[in-house]
Amino acid sequence: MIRSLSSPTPTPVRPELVEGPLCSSSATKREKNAPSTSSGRTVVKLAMLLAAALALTTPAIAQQTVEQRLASYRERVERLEDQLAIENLQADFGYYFDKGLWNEVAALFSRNGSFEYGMRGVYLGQDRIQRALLLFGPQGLAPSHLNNHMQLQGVVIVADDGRTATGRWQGMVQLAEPNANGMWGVGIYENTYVKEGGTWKIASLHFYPTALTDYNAGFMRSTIPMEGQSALFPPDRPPTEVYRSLPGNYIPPFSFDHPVTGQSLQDLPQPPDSVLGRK
Amino acid sequence: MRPLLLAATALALAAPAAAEAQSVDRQIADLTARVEKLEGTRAILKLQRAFGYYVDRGLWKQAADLFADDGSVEIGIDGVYMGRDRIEEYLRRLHGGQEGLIYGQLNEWVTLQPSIIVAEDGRSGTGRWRDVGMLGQYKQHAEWRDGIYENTYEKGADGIWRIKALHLYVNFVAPYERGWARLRGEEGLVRSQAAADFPPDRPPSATYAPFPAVQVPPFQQPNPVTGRPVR
Repeated sequence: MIRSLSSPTPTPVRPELVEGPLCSSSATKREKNAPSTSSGRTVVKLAMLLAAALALTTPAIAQQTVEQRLASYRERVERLEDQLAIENLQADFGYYFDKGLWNEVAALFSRNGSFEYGMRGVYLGQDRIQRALLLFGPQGLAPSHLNNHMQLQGVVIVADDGRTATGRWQGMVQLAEPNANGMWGVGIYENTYVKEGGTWKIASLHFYPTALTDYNAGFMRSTIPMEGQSALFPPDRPPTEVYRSLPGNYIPPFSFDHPVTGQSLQDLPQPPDSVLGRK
Repeated sequence: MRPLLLAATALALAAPAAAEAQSVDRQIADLTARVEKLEGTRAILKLQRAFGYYVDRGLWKQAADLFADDGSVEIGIDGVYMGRDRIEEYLRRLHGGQEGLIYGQLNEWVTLQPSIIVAEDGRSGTGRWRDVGMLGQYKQHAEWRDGIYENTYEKGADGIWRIKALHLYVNFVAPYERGWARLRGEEGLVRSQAAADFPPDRPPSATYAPFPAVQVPPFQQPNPVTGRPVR
């Protein structure tokens, strides 16, 4: 995975190296048949010209190299397009989620996609996801409600084969309900994506709220715990990770390896938590 | 006889080679178009971010120079300002009328969460962005602004990308003191004094319903998975 960060193609075709020996070998071959009347320099020049002509007219060997080069470039361009498509996808997720456009949100998931928000548990498949989203409010945002979920600071890693990807995002949250103080929140998204039929979809979305506070009191005077699993519409699976938001200091595991050292940050020691018995 | 035969052989060899070359040319042209679209996206990201950075610091001329000849700006219910000169003057007046900012003026136009589509021909693009505004005046007042940009961009004949239309749908400007949740009625969106003193070229192009009402700024771009328009 780390390799894809530093060089988009893990095994790039190196045309310079492939063509070099090829050209010189055909030049050598031609040189033997060249007229002996010319000076040595002319012979070499002629040989090079002939070699160039050969390279153009022998598709079997030389053209294959050009095709390989093109295929390699196409792969690299496609990985960049993939990354862009995923960045758009996640931004659009946020825009739809903000306004309670649950049908549009659910449509962004793959058929077996999963949705997990804090301690609410995991919902599977577009239909279940769309219903679970109603726990956040009706379809179309209700008046006096604010549901801003920002999608920021993305680190997207597309797999070398261009079929799957991961993304980590910073998620600042602004909430409001009628006749109540506003709320500030912040959290981390750790998502996976899959390309189905040429279109990128969300395979799994996992939002880890890390802090939520009463607007007027602020983070250092108010920490609001996460919502638990719904009794009304229970999830398909319990939360994949149990943790506390602020004042807890949970570190959502990183989908991407350290870009310089290559170290995995998937399995980090978590801060002590007396309730969980973690020292 | 021999030269003829050679020529015939050369022709026979050249024919498939020409076809191959054509195919290679096609593939390169296709790749070039795709790379140009990617470059267009990067250019748009840079443009919009530059606009934010320039307005933040009161660089009205530099901000206006990002626009096409017939470029336009529409912010909240202020109406539409057309052309670089009018845009520049509007931005200046919107912030007090002076060059740059004054002492204690807070003016952060934080511009986030881009969703950018460049057209197939690589010559125009659309973008939706999130606006988080931090505005205020030291010892006097401070506000949050929440908004959505729905903008268009175009690549000029000179190959340079410019902003064609900047449209900021303001959801609210809320006092920092008690925040957005305590806004009432229409107080979250007021017409600026700048728009009153320096009227726009065209009235607002949309109707606006600020928070606590609900407005979904229309999406220029379809849902990326269904491909259908978002309503």
